Amino acid sequence: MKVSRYNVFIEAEGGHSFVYNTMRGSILAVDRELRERLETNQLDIDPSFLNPLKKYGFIVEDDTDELKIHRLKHNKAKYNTARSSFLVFTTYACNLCCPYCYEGTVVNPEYKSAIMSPEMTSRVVEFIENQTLKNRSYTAGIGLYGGEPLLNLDCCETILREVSEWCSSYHIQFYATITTNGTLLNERTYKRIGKYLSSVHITLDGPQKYHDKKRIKRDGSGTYAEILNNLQLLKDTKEHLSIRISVDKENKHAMGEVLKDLEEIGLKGRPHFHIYFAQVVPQYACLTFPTDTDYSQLMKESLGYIPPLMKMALTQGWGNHLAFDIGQEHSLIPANVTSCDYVKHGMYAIDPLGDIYMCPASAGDTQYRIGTLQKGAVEWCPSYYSIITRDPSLIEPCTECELLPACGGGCAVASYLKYKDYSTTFCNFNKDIIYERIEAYLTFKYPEKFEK
Amino acid sequence: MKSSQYNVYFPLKGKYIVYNTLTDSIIAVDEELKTRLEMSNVEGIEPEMSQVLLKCGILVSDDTDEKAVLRFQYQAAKYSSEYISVLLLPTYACNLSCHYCPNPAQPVFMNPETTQSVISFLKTLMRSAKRGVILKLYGGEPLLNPDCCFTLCEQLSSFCQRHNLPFLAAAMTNGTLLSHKKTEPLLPYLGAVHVTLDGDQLHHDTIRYYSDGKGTYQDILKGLTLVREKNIRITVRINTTVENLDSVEKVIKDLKKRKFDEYTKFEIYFGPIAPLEDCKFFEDSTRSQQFTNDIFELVPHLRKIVRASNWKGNIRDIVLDLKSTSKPEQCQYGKAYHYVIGPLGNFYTCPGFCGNLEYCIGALRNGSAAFTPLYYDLHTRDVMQLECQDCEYMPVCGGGCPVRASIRTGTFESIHCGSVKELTRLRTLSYIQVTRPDLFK
Repeated sequence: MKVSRYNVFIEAEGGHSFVYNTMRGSILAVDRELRERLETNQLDIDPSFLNPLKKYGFIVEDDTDELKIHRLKHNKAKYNTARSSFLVFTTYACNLCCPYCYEGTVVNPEYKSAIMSPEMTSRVVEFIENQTLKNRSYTAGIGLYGGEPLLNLDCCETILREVSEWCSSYHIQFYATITTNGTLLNERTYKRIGKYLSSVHITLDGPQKYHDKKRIKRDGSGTYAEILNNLQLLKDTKEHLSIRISVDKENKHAMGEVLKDLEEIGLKGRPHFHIYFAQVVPQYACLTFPTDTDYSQLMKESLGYIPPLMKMALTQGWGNHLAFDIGQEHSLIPANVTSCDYVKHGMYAIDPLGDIYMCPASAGDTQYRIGTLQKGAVEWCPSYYSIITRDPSLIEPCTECELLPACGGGCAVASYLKYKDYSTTFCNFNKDIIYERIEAYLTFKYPEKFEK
Repeated sequence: MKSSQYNVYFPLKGKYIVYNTLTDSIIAVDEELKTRLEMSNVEGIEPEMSQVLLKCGILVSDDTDEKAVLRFQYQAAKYSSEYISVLLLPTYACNLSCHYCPNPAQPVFMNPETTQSVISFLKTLMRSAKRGVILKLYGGEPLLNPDCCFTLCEQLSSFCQRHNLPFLAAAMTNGTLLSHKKTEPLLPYLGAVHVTLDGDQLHHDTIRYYSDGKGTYQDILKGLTLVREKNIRITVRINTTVENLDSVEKVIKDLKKRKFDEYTKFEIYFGPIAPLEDCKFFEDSTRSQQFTNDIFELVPHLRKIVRASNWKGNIRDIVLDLKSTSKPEQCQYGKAYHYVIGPLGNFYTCPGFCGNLEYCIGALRNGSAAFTPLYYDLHTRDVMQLECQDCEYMPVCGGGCPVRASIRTGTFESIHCGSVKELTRLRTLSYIQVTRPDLFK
């Protein structure tokens, strides 16, 4: 037997520590002696301890090659095309002018008002159909995105109608989501596209007094009341509803008010309703791998105040609407066997001009374009193959890193930014943040072990 | 622009055939153009021709990284699959005594406990991969264990129905038990049946007989008739050698007389008689080379027989045809969602090595799989790290069979060319023989 290469240790109080196995997502509280033995591979310990340690992956057989196990899991997750997903930017334009959106954005300024034309919409529909068949997918997922996707309602409706009808004729499951600022999701628009939607995602920047300072229209007026009014439309509908509540230093004390407002409009207890707290991020910034110091600092700070907010929501009876478990989307430790949900075979982000990107964070920056929709065909860039085939389990120092199963080898684009080569890795702030995520999770889950 | 690194050249009647192993495109060129392509001296090529070659992938743009494209295609084929495919042996036993069968018919049967373990394992796998299952019942003779076959089909099909996943079951059988009473409950679950005939009755019965020496031809045809009534897809492999061509002609006539060519779910193909462990792509023994050459010789005769028979139904084109059969690089058993499970619940690398514990890569225990390090070695073999990574045949052979490579070198991370290069030449020429016979004049 030997110690797993994927154990990480987090110091708690009273001489105790936690060992967290990044490959298995297993957790064990250990005393000083056991920690030392695990850190130094001294396994001459009581056999009654060995079995649970083995069962949960903290120790493994001598001939187990965990790096290969990870590589197989990574490749199976990355290349499985049971589902093809298409994130469609119906426009880059937006009816709001949130200050953080215009700061640090990577989108080419001339694209700001780009709207997908009817001709391009047809090409996109054709691409979705062809690619779903080529990938032999059972499900085609459409994600309407922007800008504000509902500014191009005709495009949204055409794509949803045509693809859903096509899916039905091919016995392919259809799944559609929309990520919207919520101001335009009113009776008129919902009437046209609501029947196709499986999921709606909306962001609130805290309670009204904070939200209305940031999520503002061009005339400076706030949008909170309008969004909440629109949310009432979704009170009794069947689709999944997800609300991201942005938190920062200023508004973190006032989150109870948002929950109260959501309760007042009848969303508490609604089936398929999910809320999560997350730090404010610039639009088009990567939610997983920050690339600048300020943003990474924000992320770290937020890990300090999000667990107490989750606890507060839990005590107020919002438990059914929150994700707590390791590996769940939007939990403190999401599953990252591939570096992120976008770098997968069968995942495409298509912008209004018909350019294809790997993820929304790089959309609009043509140097990261991975393909272009031509009439009747798609032309893939050489970079597509470099990005998609990047295998962190072959790249140093990922091969030696205890966090590899938790970070998936980081972002290919960030590596390229640093070294002009996709087959490299650039940890940047990742290590720190992952350790802080694990600690935040443990503090949330086992607060008594961290009490002084 | 530059020449593709995956062009291979075969001389033919004073010209050259350029076959691009990555894109599967084929073009006939003169010696001058062939030399330019070999030297990647593309400047003197006429613009019109350049465009054609570019479209075919025989020329590529300067920034194209063909190795990355190949890597993507290879990995996508290896790690993504429309179905979870399971080749399952309910038993090693067989009720026939064919002289060429390598498997001693051991009386080992999958018991109900192991059957339930297989079912639990597959249910878990389907939930995580979100893919349905194609179950191939194999043996020995799978229908000698009808209860196991039925339980698997009934429970998996019901699970798939509940979860809106596809389920397909096929029996690869000698066909003698298809009309038996014990097989009856299984038939509604079968989507396809695969049987082998060794020629017409006279020839077949001298090869495929019961232990008492009685021939099996009539029993198989009776079974196939019943299967047709149940609207199940039928594939018949006709074993072919240079010696039995007359017999092949007769069996096709007999099948036609029985109107199988009018049944739209009926297909014939021709195959060599080869021991199970002889993989047609990677065996490099003298016997295999001889066999490959023989088959190539057979192809025109078989095509002639098929034409003369006026067969109305489906005949899969001859074994060697470039476009009708998969490339060896796509050997299904090297793919991550393909499993070979023996009667005792052990996983094996491929059917050729089933029962050989040296190639056992895992075992089912109480409904879940415990895989050995060998399993991870096999499925993480990275062909683009092999010593042959720059070989122009890489897209058709994928580094060759990892199992045979490991027999030779002790590790899967090594190569085994087998007869792939010669076979690729023969497959290419065989294809051209049909599509462009004028080039052979």
